[in-house]
Amino acid sequence: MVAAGELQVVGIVQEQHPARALLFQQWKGLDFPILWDPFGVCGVEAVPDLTAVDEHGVVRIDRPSPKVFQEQFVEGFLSRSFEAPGELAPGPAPFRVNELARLGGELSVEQRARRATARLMLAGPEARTIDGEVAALLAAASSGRPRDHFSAGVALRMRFDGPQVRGTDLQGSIDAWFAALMGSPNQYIWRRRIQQWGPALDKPYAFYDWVADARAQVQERGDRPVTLRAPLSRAERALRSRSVPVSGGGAVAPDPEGRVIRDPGKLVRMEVAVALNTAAAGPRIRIPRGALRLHVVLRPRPGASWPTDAAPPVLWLDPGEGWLLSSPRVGFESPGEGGEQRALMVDLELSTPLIALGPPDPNAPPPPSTQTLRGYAVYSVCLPDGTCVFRRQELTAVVRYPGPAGGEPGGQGEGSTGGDDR
Amino acid sequence: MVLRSACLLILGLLLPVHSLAEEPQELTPGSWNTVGERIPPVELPRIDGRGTVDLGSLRGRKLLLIHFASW
Repeated sequence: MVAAGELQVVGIVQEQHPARALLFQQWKGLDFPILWDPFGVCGVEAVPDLTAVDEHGVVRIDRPSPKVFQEQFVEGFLSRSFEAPGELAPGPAPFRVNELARLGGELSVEQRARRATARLMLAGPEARTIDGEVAALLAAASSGRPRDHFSAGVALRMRFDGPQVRGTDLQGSIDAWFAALMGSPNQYIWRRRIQQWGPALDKPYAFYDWVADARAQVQERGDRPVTLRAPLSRAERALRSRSVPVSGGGAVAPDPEGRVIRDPGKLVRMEVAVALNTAAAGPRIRIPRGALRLHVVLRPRPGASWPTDAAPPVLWLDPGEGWLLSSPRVGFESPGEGGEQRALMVDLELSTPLIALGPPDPNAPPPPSTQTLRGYAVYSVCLPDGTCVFRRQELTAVVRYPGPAGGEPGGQGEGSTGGDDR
Repeated sequence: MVLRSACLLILGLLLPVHSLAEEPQELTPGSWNTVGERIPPVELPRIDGRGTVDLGSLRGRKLLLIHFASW
């Protein structure tokens, strides 16, 4: 029926990065158009969802069942014609991306936010100047509506992936999604956005573990795989886990005595973000607090660059008592040829010990609303005059838990760069 | 006085319609899966960057609409 022009198939994905869905489409050979809805303007709360719509645009089957596929879908939908409906009640007003992107004149905060959403969707992840759109969505989020928080998070994450990135964007996006989820805990698209970068202990499944296979198989077919401009983090490739990290032991600190000369952020900007497990968005948090994912980004300042002939940076984390992690030492990936000025990212999982079965102890002291993780990174970096030096930068990440005393969830991290977020 | 009241009444009847047109309602899962209702004519960009698709322009042929994610 598709070939005969009687049936059309259209997909809509809610992912932050459309290139990943495009690679999936290429890998699976999906030949129908797939649309991009990163802000969730369609209002869908969970995927997958399948709807059969007749030739008049009327929904005839919601989630066709494979058990009665022949009777329900083939005979009851594909093989019959439907009468044109009479007057139907007007549905929700549409979201037309081109029309909204051109909105002009005196606009309300909400209208400016919708225009910004449309413009960001049309510009896509390659957008270079989006500060105005991000500001419009942050202004709308100050109203406190969960949906506006989510949109602000999407915009911040887009800026993090682009040239206008600020040091607070990564944490800002996660915090905004958390604020959205706390307002609408049954919105699973929003929950998945946090879990994508969150701890393996909180993942319902692996998110992008299929990418390596997809690339290899597309290449085997003689095609060139779709390029993923935003690199995949370890958290996104991580498999679902139900075990706390177990230390392998034997890790050697790269600068145990603190002798390496400090870079106070003048050569490399360190960006730190914490993604808590989404159970922390619930009203009741048990002790201990569970798992989190710590993300660290090293971004050369203008003029500085990574050497191509030195070992890549190393992160050493000293989280303190009460945290489990597989190793306090984590290596960054090599910047590679041509990547001398690109941001290097690493993330690692931390967990508190497993929760003992049984009711919480009513006499236990209240849990702390914040915890501080400390560590440092060491790296070789080249100065604008070509001289390369070895430097160390301190890391402090304050983990903030939701709740009456904890305020907004998430983290607040920094290298030595203090409040300079540009 | 009567004329003024009539004008206010007419204005009152018209205002909600006007504000609905200005401030679109947000879509919900029910916008897509309520049997017997029309799907909203949403226009979204394609992931391959080849323009946009207006779902409202697809009438005349049956449509299988799939909301999904590659993860």
